[in-house]
Amino acid sequence: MCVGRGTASDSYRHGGDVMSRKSIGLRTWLMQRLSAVYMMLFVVGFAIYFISNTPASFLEWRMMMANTFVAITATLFFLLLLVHAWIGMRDVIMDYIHIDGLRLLLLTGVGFALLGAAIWITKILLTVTV
Amino acid sequence: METVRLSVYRYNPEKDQQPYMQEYELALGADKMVLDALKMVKAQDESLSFRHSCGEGVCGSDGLNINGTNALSCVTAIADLEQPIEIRPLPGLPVIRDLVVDMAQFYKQYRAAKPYLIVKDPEPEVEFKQTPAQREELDGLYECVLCACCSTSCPSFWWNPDKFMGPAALLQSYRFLADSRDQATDERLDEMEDAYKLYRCHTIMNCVQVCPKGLNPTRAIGKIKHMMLKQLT
Repeated sequence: MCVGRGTASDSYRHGGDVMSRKSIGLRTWLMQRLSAVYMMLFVVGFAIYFISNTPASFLEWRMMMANTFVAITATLFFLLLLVHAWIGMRDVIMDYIHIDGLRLLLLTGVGFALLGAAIWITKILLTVTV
Repeated sequence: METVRLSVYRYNPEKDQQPYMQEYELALGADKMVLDALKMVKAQDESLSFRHSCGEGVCGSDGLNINGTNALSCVTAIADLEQPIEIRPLPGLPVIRDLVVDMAQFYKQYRAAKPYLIVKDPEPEVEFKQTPAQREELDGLYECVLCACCSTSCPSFWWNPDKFMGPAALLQSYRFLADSRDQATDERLDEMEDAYKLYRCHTIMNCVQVCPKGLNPTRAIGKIKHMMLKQLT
């Protein structure tokens, strides 16, 4: 039996230590949900801000993005987008790819691509100067 | 009497290289159920195998894939179906013969849900008591007949039937998590804490669509996640 079928007393000892729960499943699921909430709020907020302060020139556009608050919230948006994408891609690969080596290869590939994108986006958004 | 046309999945591993579909035409009243049609086929062609018992949606033994949707044949009316009615075994489970599938994987996941009360205190000498409100928590959970229509319609269960518990087992798991008499909440939640057992559910909701008892495993899964979240904080 692959799933623990311990006696009641076994699971009693095991269950006393709630804080040590690894929570891999819960944490990734929660991160996916929380990142989605932030992205939704950012997209709506940024759209409203952009419509009410539409930059008239490239210089104004750069000034908008050079604003610390905008730069940080936008960078956070893209980083959370990549985290969200990582969890989603990981789920897809876990669902469909059952060959260990291929799965490792794909996860590594996706991981590096997303990490690279993260560094690049951060570099672009946090170095906007006027 | 009308003519009812059936197209039935046939496979006898001792004789057939490949499964095939066999056509049947029956003279049958339009008020009949799919199970009645199968029984009529069986009377003509006794080589056809399928499971059935109570004939009224209580035993859960005649779960089949009918015109692409999992259902209990005994409560699926022929009048509601397009013809020819295509009858196949439940998807995703190994076929033993014709419409009979091997349910071992499904029951293994059911067993993993520990579908019984776990009590640590000395058991009361009389019955366990519940308030009407506590009892109401179990409505929509205890009615499951384990027909496997839900789990075998779930793509996550198709891809990972050995690791993902599937909607039926998760509904049962929540049935005991929600029970005021059960004292193993932490252990039950702990055991589902990996990336597969619970979290392969992507709320596709095929389970809700097909459940012949009108139950909602997706809601139960959501409630398990909610309980885990509460435990974390």
